[in-house]
Amino acid sequence: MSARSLCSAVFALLAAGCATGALEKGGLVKLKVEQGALDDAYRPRRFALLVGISQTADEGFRTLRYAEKDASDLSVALRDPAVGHFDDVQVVTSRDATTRAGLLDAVAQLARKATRPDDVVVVYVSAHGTLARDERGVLRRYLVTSDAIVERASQTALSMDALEASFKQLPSRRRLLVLATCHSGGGKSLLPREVEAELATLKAGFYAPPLEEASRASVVLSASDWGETAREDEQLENDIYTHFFVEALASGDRNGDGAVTATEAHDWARRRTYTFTKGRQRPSAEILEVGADPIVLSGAVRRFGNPELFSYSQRLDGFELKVDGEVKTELPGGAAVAPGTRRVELTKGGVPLFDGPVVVAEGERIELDALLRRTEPRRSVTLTGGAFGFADEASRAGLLPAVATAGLTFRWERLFDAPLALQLGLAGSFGTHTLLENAPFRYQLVTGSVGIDYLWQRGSLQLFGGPEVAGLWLARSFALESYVGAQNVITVMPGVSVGLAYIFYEHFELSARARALLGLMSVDGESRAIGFFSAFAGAGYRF
Amino acid sequence: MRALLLSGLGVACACGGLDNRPLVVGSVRGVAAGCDGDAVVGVVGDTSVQVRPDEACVFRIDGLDPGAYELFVAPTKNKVTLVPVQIAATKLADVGDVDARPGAFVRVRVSAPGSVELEGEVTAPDLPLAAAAIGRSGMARIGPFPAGCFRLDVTMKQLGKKSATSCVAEGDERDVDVTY
Repeated sequence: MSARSLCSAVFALLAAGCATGALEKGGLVKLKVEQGALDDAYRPRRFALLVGISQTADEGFRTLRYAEKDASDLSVALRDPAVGHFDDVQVVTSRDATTRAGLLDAVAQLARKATRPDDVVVVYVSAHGTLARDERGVLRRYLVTSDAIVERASQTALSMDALEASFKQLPSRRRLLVLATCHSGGGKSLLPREVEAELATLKAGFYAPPLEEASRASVVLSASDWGETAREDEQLENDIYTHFFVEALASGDRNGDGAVTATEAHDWARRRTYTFTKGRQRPSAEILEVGADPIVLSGAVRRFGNPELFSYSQRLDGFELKVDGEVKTELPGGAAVAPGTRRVELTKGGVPLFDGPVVVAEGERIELDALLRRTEPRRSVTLTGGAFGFADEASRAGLLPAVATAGLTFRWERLFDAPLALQLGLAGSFGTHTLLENAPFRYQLVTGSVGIDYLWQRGSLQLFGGPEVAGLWLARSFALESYVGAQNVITVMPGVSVGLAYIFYEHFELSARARALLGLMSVDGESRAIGFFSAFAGAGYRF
Repeated sequence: MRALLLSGLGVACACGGLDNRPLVVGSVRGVAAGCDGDAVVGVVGDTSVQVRPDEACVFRIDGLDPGAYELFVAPTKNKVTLVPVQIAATKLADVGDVDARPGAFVRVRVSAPGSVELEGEVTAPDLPLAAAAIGRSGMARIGPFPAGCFRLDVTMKQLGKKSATSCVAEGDERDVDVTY
């Protein structure tokens, strides 16, 4: 719109306002809208993009018999008003539409349609997967699109990272990506020869980042775990996982609330796939949730469901969940239980990790990893040894060299059940040093700090870091021939720190932390901003 | 930017301070033997540095930059001596007991044309000597000087400033005429 037309529009709007203002000054215009229409306008919509790629331009990839049928079968269930009741289901199986560009375009179109945060969005892909090195030599996962060429997969196939990135661009907070594919070199996967040869020599397994990632906003389900093979089956006439996933839409309401959620469907398909393949295919997922699983795939929540206990955490893989003495499931997965106080046990090889009463209410979903974390020691006291010093060489030479410190730290983890930790520290040092070659002096130094850390934990390893404020008291006393006196300085210094801790035998930890601080200090009669560093390590007790 | 940083940090308390100046200077001490209430000790060439010995005639000067100095020690108003001393950072140089010799005095006679009122003073800018007032007679006496040559500055209110050099021996009484 040009400036002139914009001015005209504004003028017309003002003129209209003045005209009505003669009768009624301002106010809202009432519109008659039926409640049903209003509800319909704000009802979360349900979109699905289902992709099946059976054939590729490169004959080096074996033709998949059921990839298109997988997409088609799933579409039937999702469209069924009695099951998925999805509003918009798009099936993409043609060779032209399943090229790398075509798939990205399809996801982009989906993003333009599913614009509300509470829209439910499902993206499903049944295809070959492969591994190839990108232009930087990093081994990456690729989805074999119809225009992919096996020996030039990194240039012609669709990078899983690119697919995931475009998936994460979707505005919906209820989005599900289902990948009925794998990358291990067998079944629905085909690898370039050199990659296949390279993998064959890796005895310790392949250390690529796991495919399954999720956040509060998205859930990614995979038909097979890393290094396993997703399979099609002639008897089922589908990809095995997809077959049971479709079955779950009708039968997988575990907690009886009337709806089948993404995790319920995955658990249903996962368990049956595992049994059907005699343990050779183990679908996996990593899901972080807050509150109830928001991705309802079929049905609708009509009542409070039975409470559910679940975990998709890697650290609980293989643990057995017992409720009131009865084996419910092997993790990862979940189980519905009766409301009330239940005795919950988590064991592996007969060794209990958790055994205690848990109060569960109707509709509640309890993440077992979080339950464990609540019972684990969350506080620690650590004796530390380290160093403290000025950041700049001039101050170290002229004010105080870097000195050894001894101290005590206290950390209180998971404040408010969030990945946050409060850390308090106290450290001190004293001794003698010489400045400027001929000025020996005694010093005493005490630092106290308080900070909030963001805490990241994987297994026994914790990484943490965040802002903090430290106080410093430093005293120097001189007994020189020409000068006898004491000097004191107290300053408060904002800064940041990072650290790590290794937890062992549950109640013990080894930790280390480094911090950088900036403080104001009077030196030779002038106020100066001076940087400080501190690093220390120690052994602590957790309680 | 620096000011912004300092003001930002200013919300944090910073008390006290560290001072390295005492670590780069030295001191000298000694005893001005036979001193009285008129005793003065200073440094030749820097009249801002002068102290009075205590009751035991002990003097001490702090804050001297490292280097070679000549101490001007006048234990009484008639005796004086110069003492060479080497100052090192953080060290206290002890010159021990200093025995002064009879000092020299210089009489300054100012003459001016016409009926100009004579009023001013004479100083020795390199020595810690008190200025001597020049009255209507145009005369003043300043000392004690150690043996040697020294500059004198005569400053008259209506006539301005003139300088002269006077070389004296121990116990001398020397006249210096200054004509405007």
